Amino acid sequence: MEESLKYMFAGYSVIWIIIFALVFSIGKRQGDLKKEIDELRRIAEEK
Amino acid sequence: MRKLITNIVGAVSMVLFVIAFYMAFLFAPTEQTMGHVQRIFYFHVSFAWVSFIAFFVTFAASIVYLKTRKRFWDIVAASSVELGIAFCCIILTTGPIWARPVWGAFWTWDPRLVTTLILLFIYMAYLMLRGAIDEETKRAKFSAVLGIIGFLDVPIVYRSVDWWSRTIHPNVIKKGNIALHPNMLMSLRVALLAVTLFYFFLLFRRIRLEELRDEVKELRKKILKEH
Repeated sequence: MEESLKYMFAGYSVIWIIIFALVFSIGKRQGDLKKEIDELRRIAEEK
Repeated sequence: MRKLITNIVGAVSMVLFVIAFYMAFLFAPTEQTMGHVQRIFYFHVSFAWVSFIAFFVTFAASIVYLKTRKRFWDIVAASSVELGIAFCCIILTTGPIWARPVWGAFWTWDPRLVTTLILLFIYMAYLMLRGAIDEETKRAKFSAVLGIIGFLDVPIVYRSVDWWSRTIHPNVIKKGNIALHPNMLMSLRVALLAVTLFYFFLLFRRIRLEELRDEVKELRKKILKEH
């Protein structure tokens, strides 16, 4: 029974790690692009 | 408006995730032969189904793109592939973890496992193809073709347990009937709904990401022109 629990824990850990990595990656890329857009808009306005 | 819908879908999916976890751990009974490890089933199956949905969205969006040549459909197809791949990775890691105590091995060259691995490789090739072509229209056209052809593997994955008799992969859905305890079935349904909504939440965010990329390109062009 303990062996079974160990594998269940490992399985759910993998699910959470991949979910967090996915959400974090999309959020990070979106944040970086928003910053870049602000910067580019500022440069365009200055010109 | 789209942002609001995205946030609502995200919030609902999170609530459903909490309920689904509660149901998977406490509401569903412990399977008699496999024990607790069987609880992986609720999310393993849900992510498998939703990865099929993700690849179907790519398939449909690719067809629409080839007909209309509208950039939006190329964005939808590419965004959905990325999510489908992530979900496929979940299936191909949770499956072996579940298999180890039950089958005695992490991996067997079972038709269901092999066809799923091929599915992952096809869509990884899709992303590699996109990365290799700079010209936007050409990239969209070629990847749309691959998005359509690649989907042919999905029905093969689904029917592999019926077509190859030597499979040891369990098939709980036989001729439309699901052989499960009612509480297990209810837990599976909630998990499936949570993962489906989570997919759409991520898809909307991923589409927005590509739109922001396009905005950056446009702004850069505008600045270079003025310069």
